[in-house]
Amino acid sequence: MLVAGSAVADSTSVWDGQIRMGGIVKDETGDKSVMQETFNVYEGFSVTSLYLQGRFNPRTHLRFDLNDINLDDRNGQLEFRRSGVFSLRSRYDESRFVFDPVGALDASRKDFWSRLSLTPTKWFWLAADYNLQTREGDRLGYPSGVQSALGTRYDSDLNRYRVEAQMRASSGIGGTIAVDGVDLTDNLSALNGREGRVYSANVHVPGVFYDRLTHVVRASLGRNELKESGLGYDVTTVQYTGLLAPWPALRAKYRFYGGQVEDEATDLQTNRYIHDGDVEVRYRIATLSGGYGWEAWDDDRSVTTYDNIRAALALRDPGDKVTARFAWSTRNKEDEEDITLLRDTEYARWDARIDTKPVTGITVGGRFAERTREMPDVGAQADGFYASAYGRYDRQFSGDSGVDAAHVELSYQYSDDDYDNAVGAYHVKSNFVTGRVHADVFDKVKAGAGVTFMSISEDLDIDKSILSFDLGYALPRGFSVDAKYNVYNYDDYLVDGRYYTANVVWVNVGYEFSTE
Amino acid sequence: MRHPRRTIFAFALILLSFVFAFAIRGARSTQTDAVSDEACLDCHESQVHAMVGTAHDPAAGRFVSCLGCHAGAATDRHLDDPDENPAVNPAHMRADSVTAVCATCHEHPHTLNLYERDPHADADLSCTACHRVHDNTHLGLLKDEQKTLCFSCHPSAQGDFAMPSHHPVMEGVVVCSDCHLSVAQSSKQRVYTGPGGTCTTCHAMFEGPYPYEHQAAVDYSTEEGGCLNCHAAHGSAQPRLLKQSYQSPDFALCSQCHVVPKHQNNVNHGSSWAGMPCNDCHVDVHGSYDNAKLLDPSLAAQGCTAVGCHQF
Repeated sequence: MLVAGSAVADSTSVWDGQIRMGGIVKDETGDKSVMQETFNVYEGFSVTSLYLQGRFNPRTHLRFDLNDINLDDRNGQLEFRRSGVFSLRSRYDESRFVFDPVGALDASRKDFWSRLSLTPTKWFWLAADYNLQTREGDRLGYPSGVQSALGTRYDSDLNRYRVEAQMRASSGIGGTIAVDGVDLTDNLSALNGREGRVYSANVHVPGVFYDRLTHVVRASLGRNELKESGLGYDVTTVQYTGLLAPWPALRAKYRFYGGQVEDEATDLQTNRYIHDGDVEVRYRIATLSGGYGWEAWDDDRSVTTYDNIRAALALRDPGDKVTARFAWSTRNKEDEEDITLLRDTEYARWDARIDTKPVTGITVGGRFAERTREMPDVGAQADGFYASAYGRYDRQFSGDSGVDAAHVELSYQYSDDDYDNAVGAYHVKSNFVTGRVHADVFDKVKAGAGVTFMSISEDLDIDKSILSFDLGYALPRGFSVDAKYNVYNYDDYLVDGRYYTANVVWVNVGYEFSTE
Repeated sequence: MRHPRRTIFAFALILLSFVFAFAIRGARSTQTDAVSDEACLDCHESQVHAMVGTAHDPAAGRFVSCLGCHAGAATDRHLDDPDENPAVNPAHMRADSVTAVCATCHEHPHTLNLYERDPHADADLSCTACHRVHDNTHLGLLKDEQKTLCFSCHPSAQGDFAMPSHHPVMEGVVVCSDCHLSVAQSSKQRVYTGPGGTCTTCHAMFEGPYPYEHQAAVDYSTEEGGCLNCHAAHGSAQPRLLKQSYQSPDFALCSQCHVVPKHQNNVNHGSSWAGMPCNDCHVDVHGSYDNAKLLDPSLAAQGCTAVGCHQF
């Protein structure tokens, strides 16, 4: 009744829509399991997109967006809203994963999600989410030939839901209470069936005791268990965050977290406590922040503590043309009783980034990061290095130049990951380039091209690339045609026969309408 | 001594009630009705239809007025001299101030994450970094499609999702918020700890509990790490999102933690076990219902537990 009553159209009813349909031609050769980007590209007729948006009356709106509708695939979103009363959002996706080179062994995942929100009063909101995910089909273990504990088939249903109520007062105080549930049914093995439920609550209180002090408190209580055996674990958490901002230039924050997990499977109770604080100071164009956190994990068998230290300097010019940030952090774990397998762990990271807008429409930037993780007692160390640079150009044109809009972007990324283990090592480098050019011309033509290229080296030798070209033309009376051509390439130079090439062409005819 | 979990939860609720009770007395109002929407729109005519279709539309006549977001100390004087007394603009406010404005209505965990230790908040990014209330038709009032929006600040992720094995974000099957909203502080309420709880949102068959656990795969283990010990969540050059090589002879993925002398080249086995993957025997790498070594239960039938051999 709520929906029907809302959907009464009046003279202000306005609708826009577009439909595009056509065909896909896919010519592929090689190992079909290596190029995930083509797993869900199906040859044949397809409704490429079906889009409808509009309003029945000034307060009731609908958006309907379907993509790639064909015999093998379908995806879509729906939003129906009456401003200030309710909104309904739903999403559905199907996707496929290919396990073997000839494409004969594959599994599908179907994902449905929906959320209903009600706002019956100014101070009280209700919302409910539901998600159903099904997996079915074939499965291969890794490496090939290994008998996997998950078997050779998928057939499972995963149900999730969340119901929450938000309350707020005109003073700014508010809170949420919620229940989250999960139910997994594995139709091939009852052992894997699980169910769980968590009850949680938040309270947000600005201005208690002192009008520049904000409090956020969270708590939760839940259980997750195996349906067949009843074996489970219980979770309890409490969090408090206090945010103090006595002056515009200073902000301080303290967070406490306490959590407990009682695991019936191992008969262990794991307690985790976190004390974390940070301070931020602003002066002109600079913001300096630093923080320290201490954690303790105690599972009745071992005790580990963690120190976390972090610092950052951010710079922002008053005209917002240049921003930069430098950050450093460490996290060190200490096995207080020397009985865990990995013992102590030392982790450090620092990174820097800069983004600039030198002139209108142009953005240029770069980033650099380095991280290291060492487990001295085990004799293992991992190092990672990353550097990237990018540029973007966006411009809307006016006048008689013929070009209405242009977009150019280019980015380059380099990474180096080096793992030295107690036995053996693994080292991989990657170079990644992506670029895109697009232009709207003479009010009728849209043209674009893009490239994605990746080269992986050291212990691997893989090249992967995707080239794309697209062209669209607007015909009279709302009609249009568009075409896209993609070339996919994958080559693994260390494994015989592990290559892939595909040429895919999309051609669509479209129609666009508006009642306005 | 173990504390009953219900005691802890009850304590938390009492704390919440205590804070609430004091807050009713001490809190200040964040809204004023001193200026009507019509007065605002007299000058800002272009905003008359800026929020049509959204719950922020003042024409909806329910909750939101212009001053709901744009109220400030100079609001009363703004009408007299707008240039000298500019109205508050969340786009130019500090992140925590913006969060305070949005949180007056939006009390759900995603908003409150920005108060806690959140990387976006640390970088002075607030709700307005990703959301735009005016002139916006994207779902969730996001400024753009999710991956386009996120990649504009996180270009490294674009390279990760181009890796041979990756979560299908570029294909549109998964969106950034499927993982990154739940991995934020709000997830601490629903699961015991960090990323692993996010993974099992979709990969629930690995959630546990298992009677015999692989400690590295358990988020609340003192070994720490969970799923990210072995998997790179965005993308990897290795299959199945594995972080390291899983190839003979070293099987680096397992060797990062496990060193078992003479394990594969034991004289009693001859050379038949040399180079075999670890999970050829230790099949239940995420946890076992059968034994503590995570071994294939059928090994007993193969004679591995014969007298004088292994006693698993």
